[in-house]
Amino acid sequence: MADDLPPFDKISIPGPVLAAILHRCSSSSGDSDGLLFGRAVPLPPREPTDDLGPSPSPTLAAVVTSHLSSSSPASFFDPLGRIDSNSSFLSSPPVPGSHLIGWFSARRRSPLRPSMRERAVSLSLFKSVIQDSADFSARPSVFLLLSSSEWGNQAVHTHDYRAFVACPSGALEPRSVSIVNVGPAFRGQYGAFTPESPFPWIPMAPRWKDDDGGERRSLNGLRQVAHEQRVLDASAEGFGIERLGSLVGDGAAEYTSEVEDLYKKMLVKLEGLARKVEESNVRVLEQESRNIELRKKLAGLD
Amino acid sequence: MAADTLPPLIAAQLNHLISNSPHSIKVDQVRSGCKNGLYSDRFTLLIPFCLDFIKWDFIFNALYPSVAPDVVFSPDDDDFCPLAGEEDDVSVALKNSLVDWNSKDSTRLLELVHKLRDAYVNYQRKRVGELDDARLKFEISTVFSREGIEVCMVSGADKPEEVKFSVPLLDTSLNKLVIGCPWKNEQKIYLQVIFPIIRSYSSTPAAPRLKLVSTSELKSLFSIEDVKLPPWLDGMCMAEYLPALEDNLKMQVVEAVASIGARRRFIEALAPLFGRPLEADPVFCRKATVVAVSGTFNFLVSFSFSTQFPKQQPTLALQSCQHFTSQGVPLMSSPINDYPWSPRWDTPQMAERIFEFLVDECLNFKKHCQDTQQV
Repeated sequence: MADDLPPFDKISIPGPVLAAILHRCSSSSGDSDGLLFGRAVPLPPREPTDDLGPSPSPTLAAVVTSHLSSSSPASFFDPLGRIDSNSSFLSSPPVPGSHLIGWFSARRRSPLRPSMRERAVSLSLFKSVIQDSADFSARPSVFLLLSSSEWGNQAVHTHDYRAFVACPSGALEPRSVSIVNVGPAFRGQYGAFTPESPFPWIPMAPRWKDDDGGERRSLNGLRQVAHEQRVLDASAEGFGIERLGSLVGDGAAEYTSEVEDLYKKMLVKLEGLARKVEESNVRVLEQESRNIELRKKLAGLD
Repeated sequence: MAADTLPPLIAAQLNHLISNSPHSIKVDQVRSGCKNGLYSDRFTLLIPFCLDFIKWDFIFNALYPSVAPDVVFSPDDDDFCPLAGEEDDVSVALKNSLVDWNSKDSTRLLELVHKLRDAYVNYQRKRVGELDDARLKFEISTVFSREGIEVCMVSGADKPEEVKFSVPLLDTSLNKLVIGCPWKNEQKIYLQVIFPIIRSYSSTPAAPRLKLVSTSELKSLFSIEDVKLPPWLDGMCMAEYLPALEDNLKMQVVEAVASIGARRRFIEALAPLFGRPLEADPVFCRKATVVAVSGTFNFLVSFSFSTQFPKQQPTLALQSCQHFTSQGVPLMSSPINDYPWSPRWDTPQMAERIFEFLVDECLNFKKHCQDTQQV
């Protein structure tokens, strides 16, 4: 009996996480999909009733905490929607404290109903990816469907989303989504917040770990490290620990002028940094449009 | 139309589907899933099923043509998942056509649509078969073996659920009955039977609603509106009802085909009196136009025939070759069908009688034309 119960009663997603997913989908050149990570949180028990029925089973809410977008659509499943368990994408290590909780699919100008393949993928993900615990709540069962459209010469963008939960019976049941935001209504969630700042997942093995590379490669690696250190040092230049030390102790009399000087230099550095970010963003954009041109050629569109 | 912006591979698939499918499939709402909206890669298909259309959205990916298309089904068919569920011949065939998807093979979309439609036919049969209604269970057990029968659940927001059967009638090919048949698709007559669902045993089952439906082009040969359906008696079932209806229809179709011959002979009989017709419908002989002269007055006579010819007389219309409206349109008479006529006359006599009638009638028409033009 209990096996037929859908694992989650509710799905909640913090505003910034949803915004990141929406941004990812609207900036993608075509349809996109990817994985959702998060955790199961027990919901407070329902109001007790006088009925002498069986005690209600504890209910769970799924909290989506991050997402990982696949580089090309339909990369971790086949045309029949069967999960490729060997896919390196699926085995990407999740953020500590969260596990694979489901997946999302975003497609433009299409109905906001699960498609034939999306149903199959959700079910296959639920059945084939079994994580440490045998508990249903630990299985990836959440499916977030996003659709967007724009009109009026791209002046108006509409984003729609719906969340579903895969049931052991094979059906996808719609669930309400609550968006966690700042405000008194969400005090509980913020009280339970633990800051996590994980390092982004980089799939390539670091070069200096390569044993076959020999002397030259490791030398290259050392050079690379030295170069990165220089770049890092340049950013911290003028903010030596000795100088910060003069802010306390005997030299503190010149406190004001010293702080002002540091602040001025910091502004200059920030401006330089902002310019660098801008330049690199331009390069990323250029690379992306080159990629799309190549993709178009590959798809026979030119 | 956005269909022009479909990438060549998808366009080839869609064109092959439209021109080769035995079902007349319509394409609607071609649209783009790309960021800049440049390449269209998704569209809605209206696929005939059970005397209605099902609307399915087919989603390709213009930038990744090798990815097999995906389908979003109608909102009412929430539990139709052809990729899950039991393995049978239909689902295996469907899966095979998806697994080795080849975007360069333009026949693939047609194959996919047909396999999906087969799976959908089975899905609806299963849904209806699971209903707890003794009469429906009996109907299903007796008529489901008929070839081409389709069945579906009909439900609306504010009406009770019903079950619709679409029963193809007459197993002979209607296309073959017509000489020089211009129809591309096989023409068919269907009986639509709608049963209310009765879940309690006590109430006496209400009679189903019956309606004849035919493919659209058939009406140039035969009009199903002229067919009177035999009454549905209490306690009747489809297996009892259908043979009598089919016999009746068969006779009427044979008469309709014979009527083509009668019309052709009539048009041929016009030639000795009026000269060779200016134009005539060579296949169904539903229309003919001849040129006539009375003194110095030249005019055209158009004959239009109903499928009930010679029981119903042809409708005549006269058109002057010499009188025009201020816009330059030739003056025409209103349709004439109150002249003397008997279906028992032999064909040359029919033509002669009309000729005689026109000798007088054209004078009235000439006068009418002159009056109109002077005003």
